[in-house]
Amino acid sequence: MAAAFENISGKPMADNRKARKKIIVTLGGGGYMWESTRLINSLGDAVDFAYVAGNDSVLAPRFEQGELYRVKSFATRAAHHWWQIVPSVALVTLQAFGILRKAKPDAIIGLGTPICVPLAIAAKLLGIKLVFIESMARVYHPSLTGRILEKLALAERFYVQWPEAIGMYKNAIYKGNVV
Amino acid sequence: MIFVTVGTTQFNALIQEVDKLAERGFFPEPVICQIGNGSYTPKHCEYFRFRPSLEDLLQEASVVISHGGTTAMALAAQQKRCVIIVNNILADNHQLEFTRLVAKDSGIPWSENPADLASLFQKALTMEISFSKKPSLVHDLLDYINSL
Repeated sequence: MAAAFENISGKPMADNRKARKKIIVTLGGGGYMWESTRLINSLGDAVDFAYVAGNDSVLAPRFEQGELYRVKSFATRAAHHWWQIVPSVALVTLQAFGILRKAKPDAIIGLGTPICVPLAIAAKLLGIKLVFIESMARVYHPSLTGRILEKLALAERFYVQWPEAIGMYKNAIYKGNVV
Repeated sequence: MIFVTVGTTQFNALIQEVDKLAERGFFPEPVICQIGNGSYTPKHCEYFRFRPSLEDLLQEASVVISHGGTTAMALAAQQKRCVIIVNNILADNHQLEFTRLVAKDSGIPWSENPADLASLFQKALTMEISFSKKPSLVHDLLDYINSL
């Protein structure tokens, strides 16, 4: 019976609830990095971390020295045309599969960055839960990343960081911010 | 040192205004500009495009002039003297609403118009930034993660 309830970590469910959780956190560029860093600092010692970042992000030593995975960068300063972005997203989804099978996280926290989309697709197919935290910079206008995740039902939990922002999504919750 | 940052994209109009003021000797200290992908390069300030981290410069600066990204919240949290100029050609101008909320709470001077920079800068020199910490979503997040 226990085998039927194993998740990707290969541990029986009952054991997981007592064990320390391992979380993958996305490290997007620019402002996303600041938000991710604040979140990670706030989570402190409560969980074990692994990180996913785009390959054109230069990261602080604490991340370089941690369990870090890189994916091809495909948004913001990288590709700008849809015919560049779509194949990149497909590639990153494949990369994400490999990363998730290797890292075996209990959950993923995606913070704002477009990397969340391919990561969420791979996570869904592997039965790993993804929590999406919309960027603090979004108050009344949802991000494209958030809209895609909502439309494809890829996030198990959806946080916004302003009480005013709840209206942006059907099932968003506001519990505070990451500062 | 006065530090100007436009974020991960570009903001020529802001850099041009800063350069104009720097030429007139308006700023009390040397100015460093992070100009991103901008095509306009300042003649009267030091500048660079991108750096791995802007933390040091943001810390060191006596005043920061920033575009309206998440950095605005970082500045408010540090109660840093700063001015925000919102770049309204960016994606759906979402940063305007965010800046308005951050500025309302903290008192940070801001505008959508780079031409307002001089008067906002004077304001920034004399006022105190306030910052009230909001609740953190971390407790709820941890409860959820630990229930998995």
